[in-house]
Amino acid sequence: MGFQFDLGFLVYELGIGIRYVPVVFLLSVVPLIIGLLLGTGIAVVRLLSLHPFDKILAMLVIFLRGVPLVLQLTILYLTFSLGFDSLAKALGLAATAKDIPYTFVAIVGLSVNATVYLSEVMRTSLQSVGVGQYEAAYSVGLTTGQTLRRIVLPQALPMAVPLVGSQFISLIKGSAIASLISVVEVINATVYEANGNYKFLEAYVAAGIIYWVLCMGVERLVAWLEARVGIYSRGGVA
Amino acid sequence: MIQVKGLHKSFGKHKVLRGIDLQVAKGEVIVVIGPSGSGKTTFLRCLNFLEQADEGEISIANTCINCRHVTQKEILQIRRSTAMVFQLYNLFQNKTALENVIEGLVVARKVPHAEAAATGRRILDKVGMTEKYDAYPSQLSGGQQQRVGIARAIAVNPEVILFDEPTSALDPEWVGEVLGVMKQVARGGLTMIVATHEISFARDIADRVIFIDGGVIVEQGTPEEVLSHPQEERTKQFLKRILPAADYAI
Repeated sequence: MGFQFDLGFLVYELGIGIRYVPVVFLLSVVPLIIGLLLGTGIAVVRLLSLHPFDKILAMLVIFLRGVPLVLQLTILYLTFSLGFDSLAKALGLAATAKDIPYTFVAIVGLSVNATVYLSEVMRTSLQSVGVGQYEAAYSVGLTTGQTLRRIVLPQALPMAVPLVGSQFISLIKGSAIASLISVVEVINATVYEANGNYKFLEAYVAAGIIYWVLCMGVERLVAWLEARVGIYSRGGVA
Repeated sequence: MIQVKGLHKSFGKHKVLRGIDLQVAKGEVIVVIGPSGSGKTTFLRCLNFLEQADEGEISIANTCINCRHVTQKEILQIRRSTAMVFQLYNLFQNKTALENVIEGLVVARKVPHAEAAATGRRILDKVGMTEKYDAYPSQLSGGQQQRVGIARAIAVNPEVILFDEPTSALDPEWVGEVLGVMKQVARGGLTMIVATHEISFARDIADRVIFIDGGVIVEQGTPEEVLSHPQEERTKQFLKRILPAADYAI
């Protein structure tokens, strides 16, 4: 008896997986926002060479970029589950590791990862704005903060959109790693259903299709955004 | 009104300014000439602290600064009493012509937006940019961009406008219109310090011409004195190089 691909089960699994799309968004959108805010902060500190923080942050970025996300998440998960109880006790908190959902741990881990990469994205984008823009802003009396906020960042953001978009896609796919630390998301949910009938291929293909559709959607969204930001740089009219 | 004493500036081992002294009266138009690398641009940039001089004193209006110990607050104060027109215009690429002109008013000087916009439109009219309030820099020609640059400098009502070779990057066809606007500004009574290679422009509008070479002021005087009857050998040689022979009598 040869292998039979069960299309019906695939469709059934798609239905299961779709219910966990919100989890995927939670695991990717929250880190994206946190990563954008913190990453921009790191980029600005490094851009302005604010001693000694610029060097410290540069080291941190290099260190965190050199460790695979799957290891970062696992180490964070183990540290958390092993160390949280004694830490909570030391702080006099009544909470134990079981009270904190693993989703939260995954969000923290993915946020750290996103922050590191997005800080590099933002640093590159900020560097693309010429020194003349700063000088002109200073010459009319703007402070460094006003210059960054009003002149430099608005010009750096359009540069950053495609790069942030591809980081968002990485995050969506990276969120799948959360399945390793027992967060129930698309992969864990679909595979769980296959435990009874061993139709794992259908389960994984269903999960794959869901991720693929999500990523395609994000790609379209980014393309749409790209066409709308930074109109001024192509001679358009507001 | 503007007083500069003993300004020194080095980039690494290269001494660019070796002691510049200058006094400028209110409403005076100073044209700074000199070979490339003579320190003209560095001198202007030291005046509004885009470069910080190593040594010397700068006083503009009521702010007197010793360049060795200068605070951020003093720098901001100096920058808010000066304005600069750049060789490459440096208009804010993300802002329209009008927004470029009023940015310094609204953000640095806290002028209410409506009032600033009225001022901005008036000044853009003055430099002949009435039709282009809402155009972005990328939609403007070089000459138009530089006229907006001049409008941006005028708008903040500075004690002095520093012009850093404002026509050097322009196509020849736009040079005339920009010089025209600058003449008009000069007649309006604003204090100007202009670094330029446009000798005939210097002749036309300068109250005083300063020839800088090797980081020092070699010679200064009225345009007639410096440009037509230079005393110093270095001035004569410089003028000989850049002027058609007939335009210059020893």
